[in-house]
Amino acid sequence: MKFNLLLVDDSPTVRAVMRKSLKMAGLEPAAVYEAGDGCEALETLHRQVVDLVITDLNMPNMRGDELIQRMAQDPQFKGIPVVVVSTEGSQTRLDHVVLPYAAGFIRKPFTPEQVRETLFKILEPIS
Amino acid sequence: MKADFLEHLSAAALDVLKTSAFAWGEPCATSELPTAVADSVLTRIRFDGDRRGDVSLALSRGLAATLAADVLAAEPDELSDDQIVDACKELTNVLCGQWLTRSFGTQPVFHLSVPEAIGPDERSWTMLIAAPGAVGMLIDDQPLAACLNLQPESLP
Repeated sequence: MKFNLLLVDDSPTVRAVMRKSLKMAGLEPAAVYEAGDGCEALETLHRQVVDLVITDLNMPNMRGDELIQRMAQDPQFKGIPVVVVSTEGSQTRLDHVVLPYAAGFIRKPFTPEQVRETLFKILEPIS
Repeated sequence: MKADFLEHLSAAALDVLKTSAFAWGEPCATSELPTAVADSVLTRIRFDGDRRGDVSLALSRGLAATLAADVLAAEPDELSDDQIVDACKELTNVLCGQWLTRSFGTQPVFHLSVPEAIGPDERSWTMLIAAPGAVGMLIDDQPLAACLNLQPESLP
């Protein structure tokens, strides 16, 4: 299935690990864009066609929860599914701030199998 | 400091290293660790919520390169210093998240800082392993220490 992906995380390590995990999971995006924080992500969304966003929460400049809320409020972006990949362990925060807006959540550390399982459910309807 | 907190820190560190870097650590007393490491990588992340403090990680640059290479599925000599330090920052990030859940459960909300590298002038390997919140382990006989610095609870 072909899709354009935006990876948002301030850690180049995490972005590299996610790219490798996608490959191991049998998911090969047509294009992968990367951003180091929510601000860069919004700039990329304005410039590129993106089918799926994978974002961390804890980032400088603009956090991931602010990014997904801004996307949800913008008619251009509200239909783009967002998967949150984070160390976040608080179900309280997830229930109030993340899950109402996100299509999925993967807790770090993650395996390629978790990535596959979460993304397949989201990507199949798109393809 | 509650003994549980340190047990959780040690257990979380072993888990994170195994899952993220395919590294199997053996817990040891901090007294068994070398008192100095010539070239070390130190990283820290702060947290704030029901309790406030920080979690640090200290290891030799050689071990840091090995772990980073395992995280990134690369060879250690292919990685730049920035990549090695970034991988250690991310391990610290994941370690802190896992420790918070083990220690406080899934209801409290904590705010985490962006993980940072600590310069040797601010805190050294020697200072870190001497702290009361330090736990030690050996990975292929190479030393690693994780340290919890918990600020006292505020009085009501």
